[in-house]
Amino acid sequence: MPEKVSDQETQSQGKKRKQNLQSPRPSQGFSQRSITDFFGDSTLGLDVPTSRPSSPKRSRKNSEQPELPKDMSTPLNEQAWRRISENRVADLNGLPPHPRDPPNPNTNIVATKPPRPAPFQPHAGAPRKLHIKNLRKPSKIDPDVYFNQTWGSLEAALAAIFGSRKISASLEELYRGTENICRADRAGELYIRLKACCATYVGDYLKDSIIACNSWKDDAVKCVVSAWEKWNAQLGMIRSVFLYLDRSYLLNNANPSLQPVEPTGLELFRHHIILAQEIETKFMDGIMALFERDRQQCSIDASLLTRAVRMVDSLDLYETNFEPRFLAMSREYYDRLGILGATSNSLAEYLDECSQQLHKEALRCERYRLDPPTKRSMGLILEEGLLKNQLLILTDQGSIEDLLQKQDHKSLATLYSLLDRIGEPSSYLRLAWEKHILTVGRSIIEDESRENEMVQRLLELKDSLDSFVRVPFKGDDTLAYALRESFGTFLNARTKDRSEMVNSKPAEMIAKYVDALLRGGAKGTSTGTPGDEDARLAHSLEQVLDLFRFIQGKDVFEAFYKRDLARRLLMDRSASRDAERSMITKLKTECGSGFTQNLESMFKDIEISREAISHFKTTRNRAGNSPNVDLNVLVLSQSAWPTYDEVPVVIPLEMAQYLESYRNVYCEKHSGRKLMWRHALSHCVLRARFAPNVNKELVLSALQAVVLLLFNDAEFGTYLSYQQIKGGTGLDDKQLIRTLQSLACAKYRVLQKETKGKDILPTDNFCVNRHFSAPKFRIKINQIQLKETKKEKEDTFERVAQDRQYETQAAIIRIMKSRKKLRHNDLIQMTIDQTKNRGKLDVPEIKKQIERLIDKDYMERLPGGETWYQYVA
Amino acid sequence: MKVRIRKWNAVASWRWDVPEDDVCGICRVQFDGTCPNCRFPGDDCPLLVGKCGHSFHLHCVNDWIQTESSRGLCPMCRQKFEFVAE
Repeated sequence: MPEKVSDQETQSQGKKRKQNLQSPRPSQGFSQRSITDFFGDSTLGLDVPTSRPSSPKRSRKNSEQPELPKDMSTPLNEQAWRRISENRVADLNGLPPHPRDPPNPNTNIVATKPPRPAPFQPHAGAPRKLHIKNLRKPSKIDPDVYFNQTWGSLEAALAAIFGSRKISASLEELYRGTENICRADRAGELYIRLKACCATYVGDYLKDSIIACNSWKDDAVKCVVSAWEKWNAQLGMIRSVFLYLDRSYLLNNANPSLQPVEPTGLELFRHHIILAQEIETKFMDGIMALFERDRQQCSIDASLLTRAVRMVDSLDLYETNFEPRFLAMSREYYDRLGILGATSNSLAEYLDECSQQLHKEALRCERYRLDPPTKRSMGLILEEGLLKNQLLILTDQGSIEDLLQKQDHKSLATLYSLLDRIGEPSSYLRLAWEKHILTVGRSIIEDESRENEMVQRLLELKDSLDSFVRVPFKGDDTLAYALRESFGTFLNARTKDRSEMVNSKPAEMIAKYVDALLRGGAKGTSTGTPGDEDARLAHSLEQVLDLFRFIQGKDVFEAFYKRDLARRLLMDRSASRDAERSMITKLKTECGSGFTQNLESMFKDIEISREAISHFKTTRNRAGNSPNVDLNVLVLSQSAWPTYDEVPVVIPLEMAQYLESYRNVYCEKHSGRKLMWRHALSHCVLRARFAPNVNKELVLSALQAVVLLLFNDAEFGTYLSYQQIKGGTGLDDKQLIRTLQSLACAKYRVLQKETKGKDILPTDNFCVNRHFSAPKFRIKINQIQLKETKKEKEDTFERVAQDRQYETQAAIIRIMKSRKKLRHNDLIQMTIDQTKNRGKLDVPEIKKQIERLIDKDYMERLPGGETWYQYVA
Repeated sequence: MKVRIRKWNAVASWRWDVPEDDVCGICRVQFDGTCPNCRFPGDDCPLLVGKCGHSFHLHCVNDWIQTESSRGLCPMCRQKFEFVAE
């Protein structure tokens, strides 16, 4: 077998040598193998005629012996050496042998001259002469003939390529032919011929075939693209054949008219086909039509479009011919779409549509591989057409309010991000946003029928508004600020009926809400696990405090809060002392220590009283004469607590004595003080026996207790008249009626009125209700409060107004005292600044106070045009 | 019917044991109010009752006694000012 292989080798090698001899220089760069591989690897889909009679054998041999170049060289050398040994002349430089120096076949060492002595003769003998002879025969073929001959076969090959036929000649020969022509310095000529040949093909045949295509009228894009792809494949083949021309001559040529094969082919295609009038318009229009249909969601051949775009791109026509048209077309399309969509849909639908279009167009740019600059321009076009031109509709206040009303977070988020593309979204949204807040807020505040739920509803509103800012509006600062502004505005808006003061309803309701929370009766917090009650309470308080921050009439809040706190402390109704304290701390950080000073001293009073009573009890127990009553006394410092009316009442003697002893102990300890009993605020626990087996514990106010104690000695069934009771208790009519009502006409009827009816008349008689029964042992009898609260509320307002006047006057005086002389406007401004922690003042009110102070000679007006005030010491 | 008091939570309020509407001789403010430097009446701004029978806000009379010209005398009656110990 090896014999056979070498035989083949020699055979093929011989062929190779023959070829080598035809070329001016031995080939070095391109091995046979690489060339065949190049052709063989062609994946262009053409019928590439790589097969030649010898090629199957060769390719098999190649696969058997991959290191072909080395094997090739071996027989060559052997032959050369054989020749040398035959001729006795080494052909070293490949030059033709000298004609005067013919080879001597007989002797290998020729003595041409008689021997003569040589100075140095390491090997004795005659000097030898080395003849070098070129064995290569000069080419016998005339270059022109060769050129024409080769071109003939090349032309035939080109025609075959153009006609998608098999190339009859061997590709390798064609390649060699090209190479040889190039080596013979005729590359330029070859190129011109090649170009002309291609131009004829592209300009006439290919173009005609496109126009003659069946679907040319309907589907120009497809025709052009397929022609393009065909041409591209053919071009690849051509380039392979003319590779040597391409690489050696055209590639490094500085002459701009000489371009490598591929660009030349593209240029031809561009020039003859795409830029041809009749094709260009139709083709581009076709592409635009495809895009438009794609936008209208008709099914199109997406790959065709991609290919078309890629073709335009590789023909370098993207920026010049395609992009401007595409952008213009898109602009027109989206302008139209914007007008259509904005007018015919609701805002929410339109927003949805816009965001979808933006998204889709971005995807489209990706899918069809449009350039990034085109993508950017498309973004601008969409923004312009869909958003900027329709800005009036997008930012229509009514529609936006509608979305807010519906809590349509999704649409609002879309709206916000769309507006974000074309400018500052808050500037468009702000007006509608504020208006919405004001409308909803006012409706809550002015809804008197649901007054009790006001705070709860405000909290819910705040929560939902906050979530708007957080999610759809991405925490926009301006809108968050607008939210706070508007919230404050409607919370502090004046109502018509109470022109005297800033609307204090919210402040009052917030105070009440806090009261409810701190008494532990919070309805809103009933959800959730009962375990973290404290945390929930703290959370609720924090929320309310949020509302409180908006309130300008903080003094109104303080007044109500103080009244409620007093009630909680006196009645011991507080759910949690810690919660109370934390609330005070929060208020303190919010409004300063001056605001909570009174509240804190209320707590202090309670503490001191607790110590005092335990001190009192220990001393009394040592004395050993205490009645069997658990006494507890709270001593209030008058200024810190709300003012209470003094209620005259006759306390049972035993109790009065006991209290008196406490008073003595207290006054001993704190000299210079006077203690006054506030029996209307006291409460006590009574053990009552209605029947031999009916024992009850009654929790009631001191006034109620005093009334009940009158019946202590009376027999069952004995009636005490109203007048008798009045005399016995010393209560005035108002208090007595209230007390008797609570005892005889309320839920638990401890007393029985002789005549039926809800009202107490001065002629009524009362006796103990003998049939009194209640399921529980401990019974709490509430005082009738309803009628009182109305008046109490008025009182509170009155007091707040009065306090405000004093506060204002004090502020004015403080300012004047430090400044001595001040302009009117400055004084007003400084007064407002000084008092804003407690409540916002109006200018007219301040003016009124200034007048009053001038009347009282605290300050005076200075004569002159501008109003100056001077402090009078 | 028999009713017995088990527990009595009394409430009282205190004020300075001076005639109502009486004013401090130094600052001319009611005793129930504060001296000019204080903001909250009560424990924080107590009264000082002199043996001579004149009472003042503690802060007011303190300031007075510390001035040299006072020579420790009551500003009302020029007797030596001594306060009643609590």
